[in-house]
Amino acid sequence: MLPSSATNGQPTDPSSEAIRIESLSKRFGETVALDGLSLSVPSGSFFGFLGPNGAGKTTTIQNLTGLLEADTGKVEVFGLPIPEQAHAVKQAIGVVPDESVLFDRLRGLEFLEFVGRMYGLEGAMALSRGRELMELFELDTETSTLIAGYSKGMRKRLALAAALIHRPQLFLLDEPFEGVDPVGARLMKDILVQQVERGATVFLTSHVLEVVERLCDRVAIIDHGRVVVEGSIAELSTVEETLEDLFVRLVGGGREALQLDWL
Amino acid sequence: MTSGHQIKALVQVQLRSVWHLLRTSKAGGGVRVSVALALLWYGFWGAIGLLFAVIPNLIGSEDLETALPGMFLFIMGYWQLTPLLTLSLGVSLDMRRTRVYPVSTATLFTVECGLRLGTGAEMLLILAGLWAGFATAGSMSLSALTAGFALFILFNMFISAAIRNFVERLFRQRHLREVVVVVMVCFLLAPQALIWSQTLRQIARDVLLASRDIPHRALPSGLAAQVVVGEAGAQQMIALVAMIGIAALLAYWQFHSSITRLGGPSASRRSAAGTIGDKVLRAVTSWTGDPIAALVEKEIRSLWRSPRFRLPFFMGFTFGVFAWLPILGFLNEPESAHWTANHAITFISLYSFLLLGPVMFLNRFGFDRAAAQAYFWYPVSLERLLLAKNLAACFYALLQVLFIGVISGWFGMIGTSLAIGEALIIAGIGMLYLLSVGNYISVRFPIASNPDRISRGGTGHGIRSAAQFLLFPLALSPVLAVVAAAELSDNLAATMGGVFVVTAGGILLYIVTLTNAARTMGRTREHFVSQLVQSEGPLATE
Repeated sequence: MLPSSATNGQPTDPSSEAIRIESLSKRFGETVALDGLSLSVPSGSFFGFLGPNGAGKTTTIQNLTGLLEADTGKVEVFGLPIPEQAHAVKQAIGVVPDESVLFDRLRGLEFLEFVGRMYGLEGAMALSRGRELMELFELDTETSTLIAGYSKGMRKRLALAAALIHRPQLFLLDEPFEGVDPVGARLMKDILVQQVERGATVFLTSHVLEVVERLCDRVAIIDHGRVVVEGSIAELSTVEETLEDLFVRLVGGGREALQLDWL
Repeated sequence: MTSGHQIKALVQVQLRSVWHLLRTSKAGGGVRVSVALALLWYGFWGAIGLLFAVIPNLIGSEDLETALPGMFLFIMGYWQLTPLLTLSLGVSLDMRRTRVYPVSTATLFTVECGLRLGTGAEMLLILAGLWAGFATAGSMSLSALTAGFALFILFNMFISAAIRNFVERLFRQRHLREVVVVVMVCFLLAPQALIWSQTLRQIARDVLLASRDIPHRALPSGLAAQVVVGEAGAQQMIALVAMIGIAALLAYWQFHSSITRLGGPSASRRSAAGTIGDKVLRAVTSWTGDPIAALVEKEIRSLWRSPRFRLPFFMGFTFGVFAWLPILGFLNEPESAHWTANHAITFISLYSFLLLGPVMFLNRFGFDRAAAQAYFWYPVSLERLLLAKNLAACFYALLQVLFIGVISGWFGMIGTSLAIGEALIIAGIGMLYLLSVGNYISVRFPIASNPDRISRGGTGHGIRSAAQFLLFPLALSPVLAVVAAAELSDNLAATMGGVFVVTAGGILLYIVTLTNAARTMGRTREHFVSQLVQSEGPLATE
């Protein structure tokens, strides 16, 4: 059984783990996406999951959502193993994927209502929450437009609204601010901070290290499918070395930019 | 970079994209099926071209010379109609996407003209055959022959580009494309309607008599024919060249308008809040309860807002009725008691399911595309998901049968409540078998489909077409056998027994395949999602 706090919106025990990953490995043919990745995300934390392109961030999130099945290793969300207890875990998570995974032929409000009902909300409640979220995310002027007509930023805002509708205890967010304008991004950040304040856990990937540094209390940096460093922002970001410096030092490989004669 | 290099680069990038997609896509049979289909189609037209190359030597070229204006007129008609029918078929380039690069409109227009030659490839094969035939017969001047053919091809190429770009912009208007295509497809039934209907034959005769007064020699086809046979004077040459010039200007203007006016994605501007449609939809789905009701509503809405679904749906009760009722014995002898006439609505309904097959049965996740991965993180079982998609299909199938009944009744062809009732029962049983097959194919061979495209183009067309034409009749064979047996035998009890057995078999098959398809979908989810996020390359419209 999922901890009741994870489904009823009550704060989870901060000493417990929202996510626990042990020695997770995943290959796609010859490509090693995850190479024995281990990670622990405390409940109620705002966790930044960083890494260069192709490091395995999206693959990790896809394992957490049950979309992918690992070759080896163990994944637990709120103490429940995935994929064995995937169905129960899904009820407690809200997902914003890296791509715009939205049903284009629905309108924004219809989509939010649909997602709410997928998570077991009663129709009237899903509709009511959907309306409020449309307003909160400043999408209420677009009630008659199909999602196919939304801009990239609007799609991201709608995706976050959909992830919020069932008030989950764990948010899995893959590059949620990509393509969002500064005003929209600020709005999204404020909402996520509020969610952490109420006890939810946010697991966030982003390439914008300033955002991570400002929002997250804990960070893990991965490269080639392994965690290379994990700790609190206070531990990792110092006066001498910012998070960006650390990131470049750990995963940049010390490679200098090639000089091309014609450039 | 010269425009020549740019043209080469544009063509190469698209060819490579298509090649890689065909090569890596397991669904649809890949390169081999596509090449085989192309060989069959163009082989057919090539054979006709060869025939024309041989005929002048066998029978003399004089008869063909006389018939040439008419032949050119037919070729021109086909050439101009084809781009309309294949507007969104296959791998047509979307030139608007290249606007970001420093490529001039003139360069893009050159590529567009090349593509228009491509869409008239069948006619080029025939023209090549005709040219070779006349050239070897030796009765005409080779230079006049070549000039006539070349000018005729140029004219057709430009007009084709103009029409296509104009219609493409028209098609961006909501609902208009379906109306245009349904009208065009129904127009193709004209020859059949002429055979069956005396009234239509009379109308056609009147139109033909009236058209005698049209000066054929003033048409581009007539002028080109005059050039070919060496009868064109300076006046005719000037007229033809002027027509080509006007066609070129028109084509450039339409092309320029198309690439500079960006069409937004189809969007509905109707009010979203509590429409009558929404209320009806909720009333229809409420009995199932969530999450199935939510999924069914989403499916019904999404399908209705997809031109690629709406077109075959409309065609089912328009084209389907007008194409089949004459064959089934109505227009010719309305009082006929031929056995096929008694089951017309049933047969037309099953035929309409064939039209809807690719979107309603065989590729149920195609329109979801990348969004299909969301099904794996919702706390909803995959059996329920498939069931909901099937219920939405049943909803539209029921509507289709009712519309066919009503339309048939309006035209006084048929329409007893008994016939509609029979169609509903038989279609319902048939659906059990079609959905069983469709569920499995949908999860095993999913293909991303653009809901805005009205054709069935894209990868995977081969296997899907084969499945459609082989599996559909096979899947429907139990119900067809019952209909045939009922007609042949007067034994009501035996008929009812047959219906019962086929229904029970259908339900059993459906339950077994539903569970199996859901299991397959879960087991192969990585492949399933990866197939649905694919597209046809950077320039393709898919």
